[in-house]
Amino acid sequence: MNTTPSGGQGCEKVQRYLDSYIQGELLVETNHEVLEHLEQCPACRADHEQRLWLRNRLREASRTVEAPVDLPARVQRSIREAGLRSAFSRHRNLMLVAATILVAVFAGVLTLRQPERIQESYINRLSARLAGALRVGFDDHLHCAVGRKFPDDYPKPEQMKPQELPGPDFEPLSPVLRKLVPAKYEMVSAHRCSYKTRRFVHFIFRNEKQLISVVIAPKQANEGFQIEKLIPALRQAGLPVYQSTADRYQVAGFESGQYMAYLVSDLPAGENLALAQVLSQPVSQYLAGLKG
Amino acid sequence: MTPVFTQRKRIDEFESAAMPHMNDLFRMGCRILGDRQRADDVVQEVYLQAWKSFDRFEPGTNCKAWLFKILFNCAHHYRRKWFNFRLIRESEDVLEVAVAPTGPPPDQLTDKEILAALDRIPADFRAVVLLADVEEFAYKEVANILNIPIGTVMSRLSRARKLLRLELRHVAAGYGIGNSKQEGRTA
Repeated sequence: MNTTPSGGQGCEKVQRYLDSYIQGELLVETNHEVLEHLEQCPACRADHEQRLWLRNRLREASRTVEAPVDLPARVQRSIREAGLRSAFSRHRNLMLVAATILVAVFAGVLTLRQPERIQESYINRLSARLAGALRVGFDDHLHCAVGRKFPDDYPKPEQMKPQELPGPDFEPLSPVLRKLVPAKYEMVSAHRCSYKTRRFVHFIFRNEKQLISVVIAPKQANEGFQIEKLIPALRQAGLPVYQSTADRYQVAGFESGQYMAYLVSDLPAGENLALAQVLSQPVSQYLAGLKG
Repeated sequence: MTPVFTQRKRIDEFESAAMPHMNDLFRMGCRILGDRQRADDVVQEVYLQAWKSFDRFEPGTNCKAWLFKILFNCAHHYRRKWFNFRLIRESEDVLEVAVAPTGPPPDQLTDKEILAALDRIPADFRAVVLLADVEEFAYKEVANILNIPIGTVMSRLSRARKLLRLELRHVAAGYGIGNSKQEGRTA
């Protein structure tokens, strides 16, 4: 750009650039040329001075306006209120989330506990149909063999803790039972378990359809089939064998020494009693041999 | 989650960055809304809006320009809300024709008269001249604040200055002040 000549095209160009020149927005070279022109051209210099004067006066006049003295305090107060409200709002949201989680967890626990409650209710309802002495083995069968959806979550003997195994007193009974129970039923577990603080030795057999438990429980005080004056379903070599039905389950039981033994299954009543008859003598003899 | 103590620290950061520009915002509010009370309302709103979006403000960038951008947004909404405002933009060509050749403005003019003259030029032009000449923003910043192209900033600024000089000459003419005296002062 050639703006140096005073008058004519040089002045026109400078006039076009004056606003940007005052604003400090020109490139260095252009800025220098405008400056050179202003030094040599009184008319453009006067115009430039007028514009500068106007800008400065406008700046001065505008800056006489001041915000109300209390505006900063009011603004600060509203910001702090909004800020803290926001923080508390976030905390409130967090608390709501926490509460929701707690409710969900509580509901989850209830839901998870629900099967146990249902199972308890189921056992109590069925067990109520039985005489007290028969309930003992029956309850453990429902709780341990049926309730755990046997055998899916049952550990294998090698996975069990020593105290969960039948122990030296009852391990010899396993092969005896294996021989006596028809071969079509597989012994899938021999273990010690507990239900309602009572301990049991439990042998479980199954095939694809039926589940059979042989449950042995130490007798407690004032407990027994004869004490309850139950009528035996049969006598095997003088040993009374008792049986009853609860829903689809058959419960047979007999006593021997300090123990009560049960055969609980979902076999037909005749088959269950027949099997109990087979088991009663050998098992009774075995239990009688235990020191208790 | 923002703990309360962190929130307080953040508020302090915001205040130290934003509060120094309150007078600038207030006087701009007065000029574009024409009233101190409206400016008061809008400035409070600007700070609240700025605080709410402070997370998006990049430290080290021009806080004043950021606040002014919020100010113009708030002022726009304020006018629409309270005045059913219809922005009447004068044709820039018409304005160009309307601007007569100007001589130097008289220096006897008071601040009040200068501000009154400023208030008489169209709002779009007034905003540009205030941002550029009073608040000393660069073209690029003015363009960003008003959300218009830089070329428009330049043309509006040029015309705004001419309009202002014209207005001031009318005021001076009312006083019977001629040009010769001023020309002698500014030469």
